[in-house]
Amino acid sequence: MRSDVPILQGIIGTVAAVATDLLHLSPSRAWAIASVTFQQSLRRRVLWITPLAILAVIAVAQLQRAADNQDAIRQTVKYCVFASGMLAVMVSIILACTNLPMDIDTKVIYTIVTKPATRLEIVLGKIIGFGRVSAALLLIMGIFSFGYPFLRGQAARSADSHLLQLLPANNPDRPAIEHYATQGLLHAKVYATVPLPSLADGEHLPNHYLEIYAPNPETETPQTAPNSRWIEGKQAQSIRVPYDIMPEVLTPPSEGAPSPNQPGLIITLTVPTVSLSGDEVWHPYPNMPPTTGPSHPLAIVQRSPLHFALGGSPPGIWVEVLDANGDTLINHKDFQHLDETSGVWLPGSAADLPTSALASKVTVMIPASAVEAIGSAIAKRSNPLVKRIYVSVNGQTTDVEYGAFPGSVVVYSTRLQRILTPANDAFIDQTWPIFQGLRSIRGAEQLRGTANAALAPVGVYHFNAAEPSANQDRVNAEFRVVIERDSNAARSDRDDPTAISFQVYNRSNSCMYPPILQTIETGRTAFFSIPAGELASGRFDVMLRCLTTGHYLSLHSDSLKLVRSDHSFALNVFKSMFILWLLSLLVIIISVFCSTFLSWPIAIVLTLLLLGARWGVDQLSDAMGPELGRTVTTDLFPKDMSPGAIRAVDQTVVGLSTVLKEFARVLPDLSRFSALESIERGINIPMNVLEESALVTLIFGLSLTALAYLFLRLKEVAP
Amino acid sequence: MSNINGAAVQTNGLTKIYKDFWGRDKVRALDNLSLTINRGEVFGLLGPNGSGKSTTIKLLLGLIWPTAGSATVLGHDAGDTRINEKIGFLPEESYLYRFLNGEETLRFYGRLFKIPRRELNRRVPELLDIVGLDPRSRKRKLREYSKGMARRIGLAQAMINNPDLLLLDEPTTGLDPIGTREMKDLILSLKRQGKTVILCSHLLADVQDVCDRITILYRGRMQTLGLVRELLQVKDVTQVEARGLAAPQIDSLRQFLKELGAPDAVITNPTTSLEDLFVRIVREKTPPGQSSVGSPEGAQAAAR
Repeated sequence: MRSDVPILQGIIGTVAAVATDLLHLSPSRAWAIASVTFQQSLRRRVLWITPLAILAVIAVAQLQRAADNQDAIRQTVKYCVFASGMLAVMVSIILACTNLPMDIDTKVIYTIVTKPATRLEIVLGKIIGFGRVSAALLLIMGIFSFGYPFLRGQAARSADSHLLQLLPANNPDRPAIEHYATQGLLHAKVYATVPLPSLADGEHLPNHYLEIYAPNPETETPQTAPNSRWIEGKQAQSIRVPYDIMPEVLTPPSEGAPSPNQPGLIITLTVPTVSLSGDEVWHPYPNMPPTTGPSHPLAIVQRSPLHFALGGSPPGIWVEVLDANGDTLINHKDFQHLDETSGVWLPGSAADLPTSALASKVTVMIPASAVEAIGSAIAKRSNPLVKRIYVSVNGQTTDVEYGAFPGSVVVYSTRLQRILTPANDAFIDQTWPIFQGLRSIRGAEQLRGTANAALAPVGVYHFNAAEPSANQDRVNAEFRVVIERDSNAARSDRDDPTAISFQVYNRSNSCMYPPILQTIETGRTAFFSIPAGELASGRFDVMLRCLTTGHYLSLHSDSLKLVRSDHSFALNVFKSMFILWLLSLLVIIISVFCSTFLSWPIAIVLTLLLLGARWGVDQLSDAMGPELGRTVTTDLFPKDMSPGAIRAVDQTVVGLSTVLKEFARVLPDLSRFSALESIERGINIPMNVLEESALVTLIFGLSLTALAYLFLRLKEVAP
Repeated sequence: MSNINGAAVQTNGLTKIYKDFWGRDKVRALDNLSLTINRGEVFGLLGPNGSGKSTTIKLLLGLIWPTAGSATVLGHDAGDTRINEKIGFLPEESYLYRFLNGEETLRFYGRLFKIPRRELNRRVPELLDIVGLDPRSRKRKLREYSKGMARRIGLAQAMINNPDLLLLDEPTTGLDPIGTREMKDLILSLKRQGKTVILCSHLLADVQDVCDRITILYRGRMQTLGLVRELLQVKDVTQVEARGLAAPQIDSLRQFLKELGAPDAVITNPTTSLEDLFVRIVREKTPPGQSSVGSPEGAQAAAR
């Protein structure tokens, strides 16, 4: 045992010692240390904290203000699970951060390390021991988290039953109360919703499966429209066509920089329009197939000339190229409006374009330089789905509807010398464009209400693989939206319920079922049920119309949910507690790791920092985007600053942001431990949440345990 | 002193320098210690406070790393966890979990040696008997133990694995004379079983009673090393002991010694040690089958 050996020999010695410790790892010794650690915590009366937490939860739950009994139970469950999590995390931090330093301070460690117990077994023993403490604590809190809401739920249910006997039949609260009384208040539901493709970094693709259509001049329902579907003007809606852009499309030819007039992409739009004002004489398109739907107060304009990019008369449209987040990549400033006389035309276009589409046609050219800009904007994105671009068209003119059909947007690549095929990863017929409503800041799409169902825009939820279970006669559905009202409605009565209708169109048998009428209130869940037969095969659309003039529904993809099954609430509590236990295990490992080289107060601080750092760095790096670099240079530095200096500042900020983002990647992401979100809303916690939590604990746990062992292995425990 | 199967401990130039925060030398706790302790002997590490005794023990146990030099214990590098199977260690104070009781403490340490439960069921009471902890004390938490009781349970945990080598740091500290005597008897008993014992103590009389060899450390350096009887022998003084001599015979003896050339010879009655006196009195007063440790409890106290 020589300390003056060369560094290499020292490293080899350490590696050999580590290997020996690994080979001699004894689970029974680690368990012995775990047992004594567990016993120590129990005898320090750690579990006595649980009655205090339980009393606090009961007090807060009694003082809560809930909208109804379901809301009261929801809040109660939230308090219970939140208190359990807080308790488990705080107790774990305090116990695990103080234990090892105290063993060293009191020199108890002397009598342990002089036994055959290796440092690895000591570290593992501590972690397992505190894991057992945390499990005991969560077991008690779990029993409470089930029992207390259960008792409250039973009481509330019997109160609801009593209330139903007193409420008049037309009371708007009656359906919800009836639902609570019959279905109970503790749920672990599995919902079917329209899918929302989510990306690894938390971004979402525009939803393909919730579409908003303008009232259709051809048929009552967009699904049965043979020729075209429609959007409203005044920028209220848009159509989007997705393209997965490959690098060879975006990268210009290698021979030098592209000239400004060199075309990169050529977009041809073929858009029929209709007037809602009735001032003009409307006729069907001469070359379109005859309208087969029922008669409609709207008619189709004949070859209405389109004015590109700007509103006014004749009808105008707005064309943009968007990225997956809906941010503009290219707008009209980059376009060059081409016509048949400009000399640039799609090769073979006559064959490529739909022959039926002889509506107004606009051809625009995106210069290669702008295409290159798209390339540099999205090339660095890792997720292939984010490399998707959308050609977006919206109508500018008030009182005009704009139509679209498969092939109404055609994109030609001059580089590849062919028409690009739209992306199609949808289970619906994606040869059609995606029809979107006016989007709010929060991502909701607006559905305008009108009393005449034939003239009402329709929101369509495209469901897939949502077949009801065999034993279901009716499928429960829940609908919850925020309702906005225009000024006229506000003047009349803000509390007026909103009338809506649901109608199922089964895509498998092309059958349209009768509508279901319902009244709803803003922010409150409406419960209704659909005959299971209408949903057979699970491939169906639910069409939604708002039938109250002046009311606007803010639709999200999950505003409409169908209840596929309702699992055990007790099992859901168990899953929630298990996720919290995995979280506490991670906290314990971080705490033990910190306590191997720090005094306990500093170890507690560092543990808290490590736990919160991911969130903090995410916030900081979000704020430090490329825009900040430009803002800093324009706001804080002199206006006559040289371009080189501006670029240096900009790049420094961007570089710092990148470093922070990379740093955040090696920190544990606590948002994966989603123990509260689902159970609070009565949703069955999906297994993938448990898997994600376990994975984070495993990855960070193993690496930090190894580090903790190494630190303790190299530490002189008797200073 | 017999050397059974070679050295139990061997150090070579063992040096420990404690450094400050900046890595500068602060204290040279042990300086170039080269020492061999044979198997089967009771070896005393003596020295005043800060002389390097505890540092030596910690180095041998791998609680700290040497700055220079090397040490082997039972043929392996010091600090190698595998040799801990054969080592028992009693630290200078009883550094044990105070929330456990005596039995739980021994079972915990026994499990670290992977001693089977059945074997522990046999060994734990046996060890508690050996160190003199009565059944009532065994169920009390260590936080309620007196210092002497804590030393006894500390000794028991050091022996839980029936070690070949025992390192006892100040083993008699806190013990009453009875306990001290029992501890010394135990050490001698261990020696008879062929165990190696390294004793580190301030109480020189205790060391003198049990140790075969000692070394004296001072300021981190070894000052002397050798057999106790040789080191303590006063070679120019002769002691004669005789039982049953009357006063005239003592006068004759003094006259005889004068004639032999020792006119100032001292002839007196020897005194017993205070420890012997104390032990005899307490043992006479201790009821049969009971430990001398602790206060009387319950009915026993009421009966008094």
